[in-house]
Amino acid sequence: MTTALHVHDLCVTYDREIVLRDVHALLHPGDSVALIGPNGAGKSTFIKAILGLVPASSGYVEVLGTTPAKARPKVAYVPQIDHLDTRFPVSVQQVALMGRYRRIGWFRRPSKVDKAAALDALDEVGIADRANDTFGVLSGGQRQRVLIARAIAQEAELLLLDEPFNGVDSVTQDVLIDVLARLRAGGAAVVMATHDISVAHLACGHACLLNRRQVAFGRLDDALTADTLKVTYGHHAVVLAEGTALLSTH
Amino acid sequence: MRHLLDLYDSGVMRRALIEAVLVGSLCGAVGAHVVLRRLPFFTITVAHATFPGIVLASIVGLSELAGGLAFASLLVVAIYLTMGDRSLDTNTAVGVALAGSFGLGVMLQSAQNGFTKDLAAILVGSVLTVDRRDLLTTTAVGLVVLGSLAATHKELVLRAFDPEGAAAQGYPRMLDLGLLLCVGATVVTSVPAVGTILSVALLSVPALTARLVTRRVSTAMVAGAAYGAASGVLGLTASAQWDLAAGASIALASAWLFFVTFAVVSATGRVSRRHVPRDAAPA
Amino acid sequence: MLVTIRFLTEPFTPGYMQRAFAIALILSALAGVVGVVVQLRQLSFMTDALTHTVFPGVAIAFVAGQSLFIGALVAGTASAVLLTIAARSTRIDHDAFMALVLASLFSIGVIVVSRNRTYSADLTALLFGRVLAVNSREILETAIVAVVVLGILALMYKELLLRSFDEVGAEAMGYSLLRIDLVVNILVALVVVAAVRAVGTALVVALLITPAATARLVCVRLGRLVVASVLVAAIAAWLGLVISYDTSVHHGVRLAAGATIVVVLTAIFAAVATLTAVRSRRVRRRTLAEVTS
Repeated sequence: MTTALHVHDLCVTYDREIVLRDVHALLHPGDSVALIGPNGAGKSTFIKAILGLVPASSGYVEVLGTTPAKARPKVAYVPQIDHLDTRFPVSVQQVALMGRYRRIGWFRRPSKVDKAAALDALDEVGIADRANDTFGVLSGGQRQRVLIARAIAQEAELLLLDEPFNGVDSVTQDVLIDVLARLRAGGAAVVMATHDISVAHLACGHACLLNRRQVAFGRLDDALTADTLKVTYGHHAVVLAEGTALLSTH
Repeated sequence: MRHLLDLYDSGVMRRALIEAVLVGSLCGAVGAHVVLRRLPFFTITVAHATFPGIVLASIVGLSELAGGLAFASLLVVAIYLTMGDRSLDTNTAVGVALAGSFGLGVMLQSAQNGFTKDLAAILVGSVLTVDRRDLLTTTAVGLVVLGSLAATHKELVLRAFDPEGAAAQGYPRMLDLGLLLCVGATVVTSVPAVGTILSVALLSVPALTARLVTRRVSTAMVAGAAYGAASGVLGLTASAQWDLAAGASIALASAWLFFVTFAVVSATGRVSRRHVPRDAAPA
Repeated sequence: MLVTIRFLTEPFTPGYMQRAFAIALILSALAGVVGVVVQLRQLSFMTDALTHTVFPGVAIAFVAGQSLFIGALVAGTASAVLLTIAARSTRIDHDAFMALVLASLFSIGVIVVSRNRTYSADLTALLFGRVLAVNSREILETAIVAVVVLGILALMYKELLLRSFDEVGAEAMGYSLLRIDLVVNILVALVVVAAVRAVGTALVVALLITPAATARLVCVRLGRLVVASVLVAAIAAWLGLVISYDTSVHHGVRLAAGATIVVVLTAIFAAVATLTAVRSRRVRRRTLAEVTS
C-alpha cells in the first residue's frame, strides 16, 4: 500500500532564513493530522511544501508515492475562506464543479456526470439548495462548506485544509467533522491546519505540533501533551487536564 | 568628447539640457514614492488626464500647465474619493479614467480645425521648445513638491510601511491625497520634456534602478534623482547626436541605465533580495 | 419621433459609415467579452501596457511599408510574453518593471516613426486610428481575429474562471499559472491588434476596460455580465459614430469618430456609476430607518 504523505527531515528556508525545519511525517490513506501551532509557526508553509509550491531546501516530501508537483491533481487544497473575493461572479455550483476541472481536461466542457458529481458533493455538505446562488452572498460557514464540496467533487486522495474551522457556525462545524470522517472512511488522508485544539480532537487521529520546527508528530494522544503544547506555545498556553489547553493569542 | 560638447552650443540645446536634468532629477526623486507605493499605473492615468486639460487650455488660450494641473488634480481627487467607496474598485475607476481622458483629449483636439498645438508634442514631449518660463516653472513646482515630501517624509514612510499603524496613530488619510497630488504635479511638469505617455518612464524607471543600489527611501530619492538626471543628459545627447525623438530617447536612456545597473549589481552579487514582495513569503 | 429615427439611421447611408459601423460592432463584441476577463483578472494595467507595446510593431511596419496588421501581430504576441514574465517577476517590483517594458517599447516605436518627415501626422494616425477609412479587407482581418479570440476563450473558459477566482487553488490543482496568464495576455494583445486600424492603439484600452466595468456595476452573474458588457460597447459605438457624423455634417464641428465613441462609453459609465451610488445610498438609508424604527 502506498503512503498518502511521507515527509523526511524537511527544511524550508526563505531568503536564507529557516522558516521550518526538522519535519517528519507519515500518513496512510484514511489518516488525519492536525497541524497545530501559533501564528507564524509554519503551518501554511508546510501545506505549501506538500503542494510543492515552496521548495524543500533539504529533506524530501513524497505525496501519494510521487513528487508533490505530480501528485497535485489528486490533492485537494481548501483555502481559508477570507482569501477569496466575495464579489466574484461565480455560482455555488460552478465552484463545486471546479474540483472536476482536471478530470474534465483542457478545452472540454463539463459533462452531465461532472455536473451531477458537483451537485452530489454540495448535497453532502447540505448546501445543494443554494447551488444557483452567487458564491459571495453565502455566509462564511456556507462558503467553507462549498469549498469542501469542491474537494469532494475532486475525489482527491489527500485533502489539505487551511484553518477550515475559522469563523464558521456550529452547523458547519458539525457538517465538516462528519464529512471529513466519511472521506477518511473512503480512504482519503487529511492534513488540517488549525489552532483549535478541541477541533483537532474531534477530527484528527494524528497531531503535528509546529513552531518554526517540528515539536512533535504522532498519534494525537501521544503527540498532544502538556509538555509539547508548552514547547509549542511557550508561556502562552495554560494547559488543562487531558491535553486540552487555553491559548492566548498574544 | 569635444564633439559631444559642441551639441550644446546653442541656447535651445542648453535650455533643453537644463530642463531634462531638472525634470529627470525631480521625477527620479518623486519616483521613489511611486515605486514604494506601487503607483506606476496611477502615474500613467494622471498623465493621460493632463492630456485633455492641455488641449482645452490651448484651445481657450490659457496656460497649458494650468490646464494640465487642473485636470490632473481633478482626477487625483476623484480617485482619492473612490478609494473610500467600497462599491467601486479603485483599479477599475483608475482604468476607466485613463481610457476616457485620452478619448476626451483627442475628441477636443479634433474639434479644433487647424489645431493650435502639435498633438505629438503633448504625447511624446518636445524638450527642444522649452523656454525660460518653462524652466522657472519646473524649478518652482519641483521645490514645492520636494519640500512637501521632505517635510512629511517620516509620516509617508510609516504610511507606506504600515497603513493600519499610521491610521491607528491618528494620521489622516489626507496624507495620501497630498502624496497623490505631488505625483500629479510632477507628471504635469514633466509633460513638456517627455510627453504624457512617457512621463511614467521617468517617474518609475530611475527609482526602480535606485532600489537596486540602496535600501532606504531617503537615499533612494537621492539616487533616483541622480539616475533621472543622468537619463536626461544621456537621452538628450543621444537624440541630438543621432537625430532621434528626444522624449523617447530620454525614456530609453533610463531603461538602459536600469539594465546596466542591474547587470553590474548582479555580477558583483549585490542584488539584495528585498525585492521579493512580502506576499510571496511563506506565512 | 421621425426626426430622431432619421438622426440615428441617416448617418449609415454612406458606404464608409457602414464599414465603420461594421468594424465598430465586431470590436464591441470582441472587446466587450475579453473586457470581462480583464475585469475579473484585474488586468487594467496590463491592458494599458499592451496597447503601448503593440505600437512599435505598428510603427516599424508602417515605416517599412508592410502590413500594419502583421506588425501589430508580431509585436503584440512578443510583448505579451515579455509583459507576462515581467508581471510575475519576484526579484524586481513588478508594477515598475512593467512600466519599464511599456515605456521602452513605446519609445522605440516613437523613435522609428520620428525618422519620417510626416512624423506628427503619422504618429496621430497610428495612435488613434481612422475608423472612417477602413476597407473590407481590414474588416475581414478584424473578424478573423475576433473569431479566433472568442473561440479560444470558449475553449479555455473553465480554466480562466478557476484561475481568476482562486489563484492558489488553481496552482494547487496542478495548473500552470504562467501558461494560463500567457494565453490571456496574448488574447488581450490580439484585441489590440484587431483594433489598430479602426481606433488605434491608444483608444482600444477604453473598449477593453470601460464596457465591462460598467456591466460590473449592475450585474452579478457572469453570463449577464458578458451580455451587458457587449451591449454597452455596441451602443456606445453606434451613438459615438452617429454623434461624430451628425456634428460634422450638420454642424460643421469635426469630432474624431473613435474618440467620440470613447467619450460616449465613459459618459455611460459615469451615469451608471452615479445611479448605482445614489440607489445604494438610498437603500442603505432605508434599511437604517427600518432598523431604528
